Amino acid sequence: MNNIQLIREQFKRRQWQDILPRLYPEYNHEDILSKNITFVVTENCNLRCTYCYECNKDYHAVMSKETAKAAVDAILDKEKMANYAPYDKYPFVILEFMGGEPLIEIDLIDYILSYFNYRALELNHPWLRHYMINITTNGTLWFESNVQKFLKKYKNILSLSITIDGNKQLHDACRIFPNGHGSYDIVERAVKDAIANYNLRSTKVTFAHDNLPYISSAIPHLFNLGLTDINANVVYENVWQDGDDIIFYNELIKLADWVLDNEIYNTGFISLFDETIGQPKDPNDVTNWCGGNGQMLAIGTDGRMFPCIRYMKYSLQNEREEYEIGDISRGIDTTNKYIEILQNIDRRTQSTDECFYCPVASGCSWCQAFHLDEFGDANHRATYICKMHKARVLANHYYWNKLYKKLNIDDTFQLHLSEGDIKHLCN
Amino acid sequence: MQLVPVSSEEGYYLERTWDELQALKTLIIEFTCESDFVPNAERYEQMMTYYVEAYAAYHIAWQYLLNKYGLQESDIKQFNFTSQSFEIIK
Repeated sequence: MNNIQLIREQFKRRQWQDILPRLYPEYNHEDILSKNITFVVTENCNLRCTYCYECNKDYHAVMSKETAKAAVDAILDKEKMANYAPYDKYPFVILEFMGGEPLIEIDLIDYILSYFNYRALELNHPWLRHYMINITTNGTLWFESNVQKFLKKYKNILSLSITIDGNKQLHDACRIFPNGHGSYDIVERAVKDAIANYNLRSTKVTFAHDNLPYISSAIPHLFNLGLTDINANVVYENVWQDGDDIIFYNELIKLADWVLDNEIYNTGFISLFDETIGQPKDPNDVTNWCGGNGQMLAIGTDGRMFPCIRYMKYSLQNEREEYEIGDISRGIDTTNKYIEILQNIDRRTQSTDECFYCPVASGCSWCQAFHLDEFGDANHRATYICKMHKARVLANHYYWNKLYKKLNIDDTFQLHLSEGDIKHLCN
Repeated sequence: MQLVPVSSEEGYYLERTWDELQALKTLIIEFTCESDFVPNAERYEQMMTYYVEAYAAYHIAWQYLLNKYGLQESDIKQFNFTSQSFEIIK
């Protein structure tokens, strides 16, 4: 493989599910092979992050062992999963554990996985050897003995992410304990331990108006800690102010120069730089960007089922109706109105013509449940990030064309932005 | 570091056997240590059979690649699944 092939291969295998079609060519490559099933083991959290989207948490809500067992029985039962998550349609499964802070309930997570293995073995279930565990944590409980024991047991099939917001100043401004103290110091120790002992590579960073000017310093800091995969995005919410797109563009240019000067592209990944964004989309491609229209399943602490945790009351800010689609005793309710609503949503139905035929449509993302929360209608696309996406596209044009030149690659990142957009961002 | 690349089909096949072995290794750890759930003798035997099969599949794939590319076990630092290459110890 030459350099650019290696860079492209690194892009293709950021997540376990991305590589599955190539590991298992006997399945139809057009199909999504894995189902993402989330257990909300607790709504409790030991931090009080200022920007947390889980704004209606019940800090006392914890999944009981009985509920957890019944949930495992339900997901392994083809009848109960109906057409929504049957194992013959999805031969692979990602078991995700969410909170609140999931590590508060690490013993329960261990219990769920023990029972999952026990039942899958008993049923000779295909998911027995085809599953991955996914946990995103705030890292503050990392050194607890039961957490360490769990990590050692499952480390070979565990995909971990510890949330860290760049440097200490940025992190401690938002990710605080109930007493107001920042959590950076312990999280940094956790990240270093996880890199050394548990193959931790990635973290997720979210940028909004306040931390936007720190992108070009925050991301290099994360690389200096030893992380190599940075999944970063800007928020979908209506928070962007005049000039934020220009700040974003300038920060990305500084970051691009740092990546190029230090040859980070050889081993590192920053999702903000993506070769496939900023291109027009085929009008026949109506694939939904967000998986929250039926590709995922979330099980709440009380055993009720949802298409994603963002449709649960604890994530909804505007007192919208929860999109409950079943529960662990009945399974998925196939006659449920929400399933019908979500299954009829695609890129075309929710987009205006301007969005649908946008010349830089690829890579522009959205969250279905945010649409529900914001507009009371999941089939109504929010466009608050439009100008931020355009800034990202222009920065990608700069980054990729400079990279091709540096690597002597005969390729071009085509720019489809209007002259007006380019002038606005460059000024 | 010297790299010895393999074909993408070979790389993916090795990765597939490796992934399946990791899942079954975790299962063995689960049920040969203290666990809240204990499989019956028949299931326990079945689990061991799956593990041996997965172990054999991985090692057959590994040995096949060593032989094909003329490598010695002691020469190899690791197989890099991203670059689909053996990393060779100098």
